[in-house]
Amino acid sequence: MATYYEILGLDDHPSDMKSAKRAYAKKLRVTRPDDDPEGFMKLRDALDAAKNEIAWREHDAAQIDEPAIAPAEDSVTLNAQEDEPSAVNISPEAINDLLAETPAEPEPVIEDIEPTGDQVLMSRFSKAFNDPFMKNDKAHWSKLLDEKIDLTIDEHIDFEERFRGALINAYNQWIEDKKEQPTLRRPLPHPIENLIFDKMEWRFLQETDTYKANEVDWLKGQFDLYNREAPKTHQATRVQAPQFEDDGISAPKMIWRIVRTILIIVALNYLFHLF
Amino acid sequence: MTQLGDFMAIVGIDLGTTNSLISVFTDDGPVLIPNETGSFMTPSAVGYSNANEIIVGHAAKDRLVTHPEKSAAWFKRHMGSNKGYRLVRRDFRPEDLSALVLKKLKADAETFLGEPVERAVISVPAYFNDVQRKATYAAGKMAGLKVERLINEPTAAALAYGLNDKEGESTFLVVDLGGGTFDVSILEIFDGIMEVRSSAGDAFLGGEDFTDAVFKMFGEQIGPKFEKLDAKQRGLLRDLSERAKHLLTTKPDVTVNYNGLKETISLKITREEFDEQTKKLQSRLRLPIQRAVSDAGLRAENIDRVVLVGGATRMPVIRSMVTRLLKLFPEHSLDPDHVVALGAAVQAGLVDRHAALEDVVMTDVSPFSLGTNVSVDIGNGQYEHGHFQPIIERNTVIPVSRVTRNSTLTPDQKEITLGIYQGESPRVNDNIFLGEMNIKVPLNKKKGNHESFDIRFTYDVSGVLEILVTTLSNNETKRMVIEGNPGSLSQEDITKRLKELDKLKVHPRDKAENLAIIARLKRAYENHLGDIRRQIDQNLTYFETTLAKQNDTDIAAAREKVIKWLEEIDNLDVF
Repeated sequence: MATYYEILGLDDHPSDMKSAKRAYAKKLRVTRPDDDPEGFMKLRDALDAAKNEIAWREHDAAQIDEPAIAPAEDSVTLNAQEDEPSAVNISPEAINDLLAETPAEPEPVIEDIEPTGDQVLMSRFSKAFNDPFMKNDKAHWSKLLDEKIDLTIDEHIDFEERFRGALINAYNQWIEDKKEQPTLRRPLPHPIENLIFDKMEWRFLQETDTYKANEVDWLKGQFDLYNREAPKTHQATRVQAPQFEDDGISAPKMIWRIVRTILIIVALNYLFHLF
Repeated sequence: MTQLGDFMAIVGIDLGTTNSLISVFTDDGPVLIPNETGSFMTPSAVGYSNANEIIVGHAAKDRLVTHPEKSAAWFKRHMGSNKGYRLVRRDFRPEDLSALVLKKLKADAETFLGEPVERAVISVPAYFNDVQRKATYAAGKMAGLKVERLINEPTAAALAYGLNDKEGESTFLVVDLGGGTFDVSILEIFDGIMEVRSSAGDAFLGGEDFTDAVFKMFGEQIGPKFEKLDAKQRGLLRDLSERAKHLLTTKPDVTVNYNGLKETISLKITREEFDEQTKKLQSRLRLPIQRAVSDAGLRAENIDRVVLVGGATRMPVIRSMVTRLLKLFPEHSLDPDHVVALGAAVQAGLVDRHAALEDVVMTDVSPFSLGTNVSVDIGNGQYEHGHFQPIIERNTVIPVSRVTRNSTLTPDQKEITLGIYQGESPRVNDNIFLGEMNIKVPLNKKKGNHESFDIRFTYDVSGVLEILVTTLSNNETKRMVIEGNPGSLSQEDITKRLKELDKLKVHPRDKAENLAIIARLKRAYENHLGDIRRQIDQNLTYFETTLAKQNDTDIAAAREKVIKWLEEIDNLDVF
């Protein structure tokens, strides 16, 4: 079987994306998607393979360049590599810090750097989130959420990520705390949760990036939005391979199934004779 | 023209919500084809004349005001739905009306090229779903055209721009706000390859929504009487709203004189008010742009050029919004109304293997996700049905083939029903249903075991989706094809409707221009009172008597005179 770089018409692994793309462009002229769909799909997969390989190579190179941050253990290295710690690892203090610290009053160090639109907006969100009165004020949230119209595309992408991260942290914390205080109120009331989902337009699959999509999905579960949209379709395939193979079927369940089947047969017979 | 003899040209068609254009690819590049009035833009309006003949274009658009019960427009917004339009005791589907527009464009092209036209590339909004695309195919067929390809509008626009710069290396974002739809695409050009990186859009946002906003603002100024306006009076006000909206792009405020009621009502609108009232519409531009950027794996700062397409991008509010969102000044070196049609011609040239395009290759993406429904384990042995499992993710380069493995829900399951869906919602109920497959679980399967299936989706450049389901235990494969055509109408339906449309008497093309002037005079008559009304009447009589004399030179002179006078009149009531 040909290697991906052979499919691209190269003798060896491409050194960078530019040479991979140039090779792809050359091959594409003789493998047009209209004339040779099979060949094109192979060519395209080869380009994607090159893209992945180059990305990994760059990723590895970056790790070697930063030995100071990364101690020997692999797991720690991975964590240190991440820009933002994952939701589960962050401590409650850190969340409040994260929420509170965003420059409502910019610290002297960053005074000469103008905070970006998303940072300014994020600080106002934190304020609303931490204020017991504002937190329940739907009109205030609505107004805040409408203000994101003034953000640029890049600021909005950043804002969305920060906001989602902060919410995930808050809900994670709540789940933890609830174990000790079962009566603890939700971080945000239901109407506000709904409003956020509407205004952030999270009801649809915004992200093809599975990591981000999972974040939205997790939040949706916490916001309890799934249970309020009763699904109607009856369907019988599933995502995962079987997960309850060892469970078997309990005896009462089995008996009930047999009884049910007999009942159905009797009922059908009865109906049959009726007509 | 180079395409002569037995070699028939493929035309490119921009079938728009408000206007439609037709074009062809020549040795000199893409060329627009004029209609009988010499204009490239034919309003997408259809109606019956007083002689019960079908009229399409300018005349039909003006008659929306004078004869609303005999005219229809903006039907692209309802393509693929069951909405019916009743014109003089006859029901039309949006496909029928679109077919009539296509027929008219086809006739224009045949006159221009001097040869029959049978093959076409038609542009559709990137965010048109499968049902809407099929409806467009059907409309083409009903107009007697073989639709070689549907091209996404922003892709077409990018092709038109890209062709001017095919040696360069750049990434550009196309913002296409047409009459009824909003599309965004990101295109990367390198080594003569035009690669669409991503497309996104909103199928229900367009210039017409901004006209509606002006209409509503005028309605508020009219007060309680507004509710009681009849179809004709509303048509008149909407016409004024559209003209006011156009004038607002160059003036800070516009006043219109509304004469639909007994006395003249002066209505005023400033640009600030307009900007304020359309905030909600403007905010809807953000999401598709953001989606296109992040789906392409980019940030807005990586975009080199922003290109504006579609008449509605003339509005200053749109331009400033786009500039603010992307921190980049948009360009519009090609006429925003013409770009899509020019790009459609380029695509036609590509399909036709035109020599001038030998080195150009274009790859496009599927603008939507395609997948199946699945049930998801929610714990406690419970399953939730109706989840959407994308198999081909949106913005994947096409043609593409992807496979996923699913298994039965319970070991004793006898059959699976696989629903095929298109969309972006995590729930299939909110997505578009494309088809269904039933697959039997083999009987000889080992008891107590789950059965697994490999589901393969293959999506090609003409929008044909092939689904292959392989049952793992016996290696049997079942196949289903969801075709780009014929769509919601069956093949027989199309043939039947084709015949019915052929029976309709169409107003002769060479007289269409005169008819358009009469329709315009009558519209102006409706919108004025007193002295001007008498003058319009005089002009109408003058024009009609000239027509009766049947001297072509006289008619042409009269036409010019009346048009000039009409333009002056128009400036009297919208200023």
